[in-house]
Amino acid sequence: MKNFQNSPFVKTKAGEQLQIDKDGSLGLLALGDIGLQLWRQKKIAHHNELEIRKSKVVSSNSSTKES
Amino acid sequence: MIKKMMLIGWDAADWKIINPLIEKGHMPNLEKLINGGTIGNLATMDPAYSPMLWTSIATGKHAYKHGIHGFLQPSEDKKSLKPVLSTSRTVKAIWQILSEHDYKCHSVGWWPSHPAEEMNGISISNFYQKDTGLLKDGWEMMSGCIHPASEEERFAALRVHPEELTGQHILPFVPNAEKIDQTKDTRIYSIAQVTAHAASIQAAFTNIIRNEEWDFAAVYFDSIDHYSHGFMKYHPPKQDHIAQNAFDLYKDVVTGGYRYHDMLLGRLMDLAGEETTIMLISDHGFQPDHLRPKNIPKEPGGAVYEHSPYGVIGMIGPEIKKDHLIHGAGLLDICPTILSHYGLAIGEDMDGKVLTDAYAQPLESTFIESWESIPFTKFKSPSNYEMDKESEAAMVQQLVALGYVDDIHKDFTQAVKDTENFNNYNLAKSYLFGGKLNEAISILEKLIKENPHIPRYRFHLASCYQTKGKLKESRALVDQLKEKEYYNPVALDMMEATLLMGEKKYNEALTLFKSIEDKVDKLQSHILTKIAKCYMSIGFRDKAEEALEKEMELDYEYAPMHLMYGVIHYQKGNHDIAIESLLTSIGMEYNNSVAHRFLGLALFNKGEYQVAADSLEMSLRFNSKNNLARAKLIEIYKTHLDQPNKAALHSQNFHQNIKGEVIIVSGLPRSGTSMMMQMLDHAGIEIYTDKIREADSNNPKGYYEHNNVKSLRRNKRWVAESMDKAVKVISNFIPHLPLIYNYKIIFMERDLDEILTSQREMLMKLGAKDRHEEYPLQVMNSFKKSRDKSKLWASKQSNIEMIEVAYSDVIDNPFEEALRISEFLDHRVTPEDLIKPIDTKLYRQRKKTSTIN
Repeated sequence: MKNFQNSPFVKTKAGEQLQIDKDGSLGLLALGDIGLQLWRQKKIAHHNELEIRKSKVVSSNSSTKES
Repeated sequence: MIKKMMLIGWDAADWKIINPLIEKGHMPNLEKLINGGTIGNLATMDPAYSPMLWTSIATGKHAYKHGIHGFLQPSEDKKSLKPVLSTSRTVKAIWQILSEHDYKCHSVGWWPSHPAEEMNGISISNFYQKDTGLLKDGWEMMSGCIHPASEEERFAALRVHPEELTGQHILPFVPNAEKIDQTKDTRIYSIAQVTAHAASIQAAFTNIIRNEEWDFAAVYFDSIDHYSHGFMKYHPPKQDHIAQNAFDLYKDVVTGGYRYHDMLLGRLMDLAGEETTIMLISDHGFQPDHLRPKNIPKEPGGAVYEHSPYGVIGMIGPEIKKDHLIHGAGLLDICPTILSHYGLAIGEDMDGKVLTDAYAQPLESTFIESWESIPFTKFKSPSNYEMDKESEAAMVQQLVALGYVDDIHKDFTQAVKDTENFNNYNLAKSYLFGGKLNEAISILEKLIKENPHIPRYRFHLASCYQTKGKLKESRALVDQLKEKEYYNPVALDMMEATLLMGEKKYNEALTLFKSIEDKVDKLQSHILTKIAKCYMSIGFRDKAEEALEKEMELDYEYAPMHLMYGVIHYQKGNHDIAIESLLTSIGMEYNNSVAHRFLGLALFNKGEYQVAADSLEMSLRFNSKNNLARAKLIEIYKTHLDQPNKAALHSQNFHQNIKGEVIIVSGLPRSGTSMMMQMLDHAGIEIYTDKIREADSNNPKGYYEHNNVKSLRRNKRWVAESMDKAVKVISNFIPHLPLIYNYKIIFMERDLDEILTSQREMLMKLGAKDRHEEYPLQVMNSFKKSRDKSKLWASKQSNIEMIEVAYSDVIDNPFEEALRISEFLDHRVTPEDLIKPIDTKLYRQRKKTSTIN
């Protein structure tokens, strides 16, 4: 399967455009395996992004403390 | 070219919910299917329990043949309960037949299909999507869910756990979900569960369709049924007993569920492509409107009372008619239709028909005796499968939680016994639905013997006895139930009144029905149709019509109501209304021989001879012994369609159905019928008489009558008792003779003036005033009309031989006439014996010159 991780939308065969959001949607579930995987990838990407931001905050906090 | 087919199952989908959603544009994908294809009602079966129904769909067989009789079954050691499994099925399913013929088949979620069966493709069982564990604990997939097992990892990853869902998934169902305290109200989680289950099935199925080769793919969603059982009570319009707050919160769940399924359908239609035939079906409907029951009866499987008798069918594909409506489809028709679609033979032991009307070019059907006797070698059914006890218990518990199964008795011996009883009760009902009364009766009798304290077995047995015509036995059971106050008294009164109808006591039945009319649930009991039947039987056609029209306002979807309405209008000569009503009835219940017969008769009267013949042929398909339909068909083929070969074939079958012969003495009253009966009696022919009407001065030698004859219009059973005997039947009853006997009719003729004089004298002797002045012309004409009509009818029947005998000739030339009668009766009597009782002195009203009018 193609990696749509960075795309905000997925297009169905019939041309319908669905937003890929971290919270998911019934539309994505209805797309079946592809919709499910896109949603899960988005969730993971979002989670990773948060983790990165969190680690950045932590490291900037710790460097502030150190300094 | 292989014709691909995708079979999509939506448990409990109902047009009554779908139609308004389509009107609002809320189900665009189904709308596309409807406009581009063929749709119709899909009649369910009894009992309407999903595992039984979906197995009937997959096998084309009644439950009493396929072996699935409920939700649960006792384990082999009878120490625990387990859900019904694919291994419980005793006959072959469509995917097995197709796989054996090298078609690439896939099946996902069918109920029951665990453990996953071997097939020429991937099968995923109905336990695949179940969330038996918490997400954080890893949520292992139960073993046996996937065939081939090598694909387990691939599909395990495609399951959706309800805990994964977010507000985005729930808000379309419950827009004010944030107002709910989920620690107290767990209904939001149940919506998430149902939605996640459907998502898992969709994910697995789409993955297969996208990545595998396929010729046939079947998928089953139980979700509409689950949304409906949980939330239909909140569906608008609000019912009085529903709290406003709950209504406001949950009123959109059911429509949300349907809209979600439309999205699922849209994706599947996209993936299938236009070259594939798609068949969308549901196993039963679900009452969405004022027909919703307020309370679910407290009996095992009571949730079934929320179902409605018609599911949906929609088909679209290159060979399917566009924008077309089919009538008379049933669950048992799906498997034969799929077999024909692939050009495979239909097992003669399958119980349905091919839905050929859905196809632009009719499908050709071939038949084999049975697929069961043919050994399949390519794919084996799972055997010796044992579920682990933990999974077994979890699955049983899910069925309890969903309301399919009552709480399990703590004592397992009792729990096993309860399950066996429930399944046997369902088996009996399946036999009953399949018209196998004797088998149903035998099971119910056994259940009563073992469980004398359970009244519903007696109640159903009483109903079976009624259908079987064992009215005494039925009465005994009803009396027992009444005496011991075993059962709901109003239900018993309904049963009693129906029994009275069976006993032909229509006035008493009507009085009882009227007395409970306001106490029963008019919709469930269809009491108004029963009242209409009583009115019909006592000759109040207008009142019957009125009762039926009232019932129509309450519930339009009741086939017997439309049938009776059609019959009334046929009898009134309103053939257009009759045809419309009968078609409606047939659309709802296709396999009713009587409805097809009356449709044929009404079409005949409209001069539509070919379609009339088609309808009558259909009537014979459902009851080949229906000689009434056959007689009309013979007439149509002979007289109107110039098809003597078909007429001859039916004529041959007509005579094969004949059970015996009856001698009828007929004519107008006072035409000498009693004299002829007396002659036959003296000549040694056994007479069918109850001797109730004794000899008097009007008929000094007796009347030779039987009271049963007067009920011939309604009750024809007694004719069997008159076989090989002579029976007196007044001429206007002749057209009501059942056509399953041969008749030799001796039709007595007498001058009409003489008859009228004789009748008047008789009436005066009985105390009537001299009505001479009121009589003549009108009465004379009416007598003449009635006599001529009966004779004309009799002359057209191939099972009737008739001889006309003039009363005056018998008196004037007794031996010659007796000789003629003797020959007519194949010399069963001698002329000498026949003439012995003739008493010329009784010829008291002789005209000077007699002429036959």
